Amino acid sequence: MKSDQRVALVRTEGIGRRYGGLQAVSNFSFEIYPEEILGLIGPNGAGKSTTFNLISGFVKPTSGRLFFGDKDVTGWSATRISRLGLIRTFQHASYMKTLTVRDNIAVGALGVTGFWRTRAIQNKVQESAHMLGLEQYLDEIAGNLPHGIQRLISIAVAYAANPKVLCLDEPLTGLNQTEAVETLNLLRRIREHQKCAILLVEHNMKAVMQLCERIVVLHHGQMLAMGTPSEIRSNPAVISAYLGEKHARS
Amino acid sequence: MQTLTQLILTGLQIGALYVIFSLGLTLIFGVMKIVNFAHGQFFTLTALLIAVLYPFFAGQGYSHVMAFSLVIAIGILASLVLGYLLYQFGFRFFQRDLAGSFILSVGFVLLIEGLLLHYFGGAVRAVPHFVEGSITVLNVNVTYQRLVLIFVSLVFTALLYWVLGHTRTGKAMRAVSIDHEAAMIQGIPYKKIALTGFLIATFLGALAGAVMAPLAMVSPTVGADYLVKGFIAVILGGLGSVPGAIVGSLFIGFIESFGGFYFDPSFANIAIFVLVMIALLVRPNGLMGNG
Amino acid sequence: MDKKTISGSFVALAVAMAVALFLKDGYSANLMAWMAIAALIASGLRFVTLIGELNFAAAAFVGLGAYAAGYSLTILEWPFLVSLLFAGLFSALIGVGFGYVTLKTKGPYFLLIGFAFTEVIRLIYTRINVLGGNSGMIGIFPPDFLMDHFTVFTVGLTGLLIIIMYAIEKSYLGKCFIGIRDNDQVVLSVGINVHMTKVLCLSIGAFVSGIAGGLTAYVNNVISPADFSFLLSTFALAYLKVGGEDHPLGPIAGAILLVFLGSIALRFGGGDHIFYGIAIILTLLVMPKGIFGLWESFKSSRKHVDVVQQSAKGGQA
Repeated sequence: MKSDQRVALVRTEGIGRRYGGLQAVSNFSFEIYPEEILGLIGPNGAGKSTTFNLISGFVKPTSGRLFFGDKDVTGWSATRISRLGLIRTFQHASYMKTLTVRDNIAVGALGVTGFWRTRAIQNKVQESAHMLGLEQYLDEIAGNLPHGIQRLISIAVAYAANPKVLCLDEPLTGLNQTEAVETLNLLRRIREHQKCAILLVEHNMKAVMQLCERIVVLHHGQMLAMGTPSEIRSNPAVISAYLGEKHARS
Repeated sequence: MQTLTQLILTGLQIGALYVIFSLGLTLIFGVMKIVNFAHGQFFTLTALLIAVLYPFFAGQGYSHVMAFSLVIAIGILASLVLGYLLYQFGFRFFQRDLAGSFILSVGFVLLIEGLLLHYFGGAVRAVPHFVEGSITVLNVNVTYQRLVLIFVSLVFTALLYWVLGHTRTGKAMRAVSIDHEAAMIQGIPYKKIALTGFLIATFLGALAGAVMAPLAMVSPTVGADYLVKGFIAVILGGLGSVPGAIVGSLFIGFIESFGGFYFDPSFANIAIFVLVMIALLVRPNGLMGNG
Repeated sequence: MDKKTISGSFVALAVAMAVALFLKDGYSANLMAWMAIAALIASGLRFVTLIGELNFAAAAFVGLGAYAAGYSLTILEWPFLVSLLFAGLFSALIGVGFGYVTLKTKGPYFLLIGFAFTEVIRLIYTRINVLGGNSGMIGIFPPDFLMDHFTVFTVGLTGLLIIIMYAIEKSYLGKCFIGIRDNDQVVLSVGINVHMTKVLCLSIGAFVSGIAGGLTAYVNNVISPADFSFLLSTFALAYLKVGGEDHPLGPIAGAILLVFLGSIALRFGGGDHIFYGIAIILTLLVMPKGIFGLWESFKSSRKHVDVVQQSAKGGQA
């Protein structure tokens, strides 16, 4: 694996989280580089959600450190970390269901824009809706829209917050093949336009292999492998973690 | 030393009463996820009926023990009927709706307290002790009545623990309290469990009224003060936690006892409140809630 | 907020003030003033529901405002408007402190700690001699030039504050509050300090309650600790629920109706507690969305009927 000369946007150093007797994540060190699309995969219970929560400040690490650029942000709250530009979505209903799509995106924008700057917020809403193809839904109540559109709303809200690192938690869940492909193209467009890095937790293996430039694999809370999609695909440890010993030997 | 023992005993007694009272509150929250502001009405109704009916039966020639047992039974039964009515015609429709059930319970409080004031009048009444006499424990004079209170509290707390831990109904209640959807999937008859839990809580509220009646003045508004303390105990301990309710209640009992002696009762109340605020700062879901 | 709503609201307010002017002095004028104050307290309560919390401490903030007004007028001898403003600001300040600690909790905890707070504050009034202890304060009179038309002033001020609260509700700040109610995790994830935003919402509610308290002091001229117990919060809840908590006019409708009916009940010999209790219970069981909730569903069923009729006509063509 070639060593990376770039400066990492987000870096964890031996980060870990213990819950009583359970070590959900242990000694996990990885980096997110500017404008890259990084995938985080692993079997169920591997610690992906915990990692997400750790780097976004929703959960405090019980060991290790977190860096944003060269700033030590270990233990920072979710609000502070998101102000630095790390914006994440949630696996379920990552939007506000009684608000219109327009207001959803506006809330996404106003944290980093300031709630009094109405003109700037309106512009951001237009831009975000345009990027995500939601213009026709702007005045609909988010909770009434179909599942696929709601997924897009979640991303639109995060996008409006001007992310430097966009962390998406299983954005393709419940989407059919066509919708999934469209979303992948969308994510590439977002990366191009926003010049942000994207961290993706996903179970849809095909999508991960297609979209991500680098992949990190977690298993039982520890890093199992890190590399390009082809490297990961042929890594016996990864294969056995997912499918069992039998397949690795064949 | 004598004062210290006296204060500890008083704290235990006050705490024991709050324990019975707050166990009901926390049980209802655990099972139905609602806050029943009207819980104090069971307390009040039972106490009032005892205060009014005891003189009647005693006057009819029943023996002291007979009359007392009779009025306690009537008082508790009346509260159970009231509880059943409140559940059937009210809370049943508002399970897991915190705001709705709370406001409904507020409505019940206004209605019931208003009716109690109307029929019993605002006068304060006294109830004689169930057991006369006192005993000297550790250099301190304690009335049997207070010991009865502590004893009853211990017995029924233990009983509740046993029910929750070793009966099917109790275990079902715990299951519902932890995750009611999972419990329903497992086939637990949620509605029956909710009703059972509500009635047990009602019984405990009524019981508290029954043991309190001989020890303090009884009036239609007596429930309110105990209600505040009961809620504070439950917040401190964590809503839905039985051990939490016990710890919280005893804690408040001791502060009331010591604070009331060294300063005065209202100071003690303020101190309790400040302490709860501090506790909530540190553990927003109560001492034993999952913060 | 759109132009139509703004002008409509001010017109309605002007009409209300004209009615108040017409009533002059006496019992009806007082009744209208109480309705206005009740509407303000209930609207303040509704404002805090935007962040998804039931502010049972509303009565405490009303009381703090009343005592602040009474104290600053009768003892510090501040001018009327200053003392009224002080009532609001003092409550808001306490609201910031209270909210900072208690808004770390949610739902039932916040509700119950608000209840405890109200009772403790009430206890504190009784122990402070300069505030009159148990007997309270007297002699809280509005300035001479307002004496005869204090109802007009009350209606005007409460109306103005309700309109302002509505404007905030419709602004981006208001959307932020509602967003927090819907999904506070998402709001946290986009760089908003959810906790301080909730504190802001509560302190605005406290400010409004404080003004309501100041007005209470000036309208009744005497205040005592018993006026500001948790019962006041329960009445405010009743106004809110009966009127309908989803619509900004709901608390106003509920307040007017219940204060009016309550005054009748009082004249037929006490028992207004029973009456309020029944009102709450009936509303919750029969029309949980309140008066305006009924109106909204009536409106949408009419729309539905139109749609059905249109499609029926279309089918027949």
